[in-house]
Amino acid sequence: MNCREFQDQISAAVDRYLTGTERSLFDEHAKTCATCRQDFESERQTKELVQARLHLVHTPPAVLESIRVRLDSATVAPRFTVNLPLFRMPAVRYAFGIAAVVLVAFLFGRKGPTPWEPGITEGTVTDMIGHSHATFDAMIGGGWQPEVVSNQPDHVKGFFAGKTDFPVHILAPRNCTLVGGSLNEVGGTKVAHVLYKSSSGMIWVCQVCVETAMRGERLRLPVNARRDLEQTGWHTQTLPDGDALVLWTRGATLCSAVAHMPSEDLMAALTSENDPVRW
Amino acid sequence: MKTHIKNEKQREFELEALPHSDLLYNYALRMTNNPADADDLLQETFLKAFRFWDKYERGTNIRAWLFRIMKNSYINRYRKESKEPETVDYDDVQNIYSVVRNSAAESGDLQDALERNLLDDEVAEAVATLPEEFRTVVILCDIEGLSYEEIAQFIDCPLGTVRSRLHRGRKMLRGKLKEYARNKGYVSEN
Repeated sequence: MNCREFQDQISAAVDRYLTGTERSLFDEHAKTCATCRQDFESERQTKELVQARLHLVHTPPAVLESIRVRLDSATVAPRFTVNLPLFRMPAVRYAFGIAAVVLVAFLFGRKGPTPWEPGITEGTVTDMIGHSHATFDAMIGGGWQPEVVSNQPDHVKGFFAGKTDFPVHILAPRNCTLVGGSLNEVGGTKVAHVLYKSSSGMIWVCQVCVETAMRGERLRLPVNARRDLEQTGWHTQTLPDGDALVLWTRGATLCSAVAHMPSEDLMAALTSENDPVRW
Repeated sequence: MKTHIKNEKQREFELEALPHSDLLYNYALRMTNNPADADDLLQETFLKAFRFWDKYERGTNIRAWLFRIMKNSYINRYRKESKEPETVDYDDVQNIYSVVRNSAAESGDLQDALERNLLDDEVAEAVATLPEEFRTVVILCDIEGLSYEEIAQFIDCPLGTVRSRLHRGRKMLRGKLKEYARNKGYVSEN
């Protein structure tokens, strides 16, 4: 065993994860190399010090009680934690969402330092519909910073160029303006997000590699959606809180659009006279 | 009818999710190093988890699910306020601690000096100032006692990354503790 291999195994040795054979080789090297031996001792002692000084504590009962009280008053899947009657009006919510996106884009320039700050964690939502809806909610709540802000399709398309293993399509929904986009990862799966603004509200489009979704590893599709896509090329549904969702495939790309409008209106915005979805 | 359904959901949530509050609270406490902030972070996490309770897949690792919600909440809230660089990925940065040998030997008295003189708060402070990805694994392994496998699941990375971050994190922590001890005069400059 050389020093580099020894260094790579120090933590495992400290935490007793080495097998018998690995430990023998480890100890053998430690006998011959004072520096490595000291590194091991230092790490072992550091862990001991942390464990001796920083103990596990119980959650304060008052905090647990406060959580229970807040759960009592929480509604199911509220859009906002802000408790103002005004925010129940869709027009106000969307105005707030648009203002938040524009303000953030202005403050951070063309590229935000962190594109995505969702209210739900990456990797916890494992289906495409859930991901699309959750990220739409978080975007409306002001938790999204676009990496590219532009109303020029070529500019936004250029941002995504070479960054995904599927083509990212920049749509031209009817009576909509392109706002911007970002590229994120969910458990190692790239997801392109593009935002449009219409007179009825925001349209949020998520795009992933269709093969990844069909394989069912990450951002998979429910059975009924998969069946619809295979039979008709698209799938629509109204989500529990009234948002509309449309799914469709375009070559190697699976697209989903979410908006707070009737599903027929969303379909109308996405479709044109000639093509199922206007590009 | 709606109230009945909500209460059932709340009851289910309280039975399944709340028992993991200690794990989350300790993580929040060590990440923020501030009990009031940890309280807020814990409450925010559980409220978000309740809000998205329908999205949780029954039978999967609920601790990992809750942890990731908390980690994201922490990032949302605190990364904006901190001066910590957001775009540095330490896994991509050459690990000088693993390829460059320690040139300064530690005296045998150093550990004694650290154990004897450093206050719990000072050790907590040193942990709290580690870069986020290293702080997380040190907290989860050395304080919360999670296995490498579970840590890998929590932070969604390979086992090798957990090991590597632990090694670097503990080494950085050692350096910080030595510096604290030197500044306080517990050990000499030499």
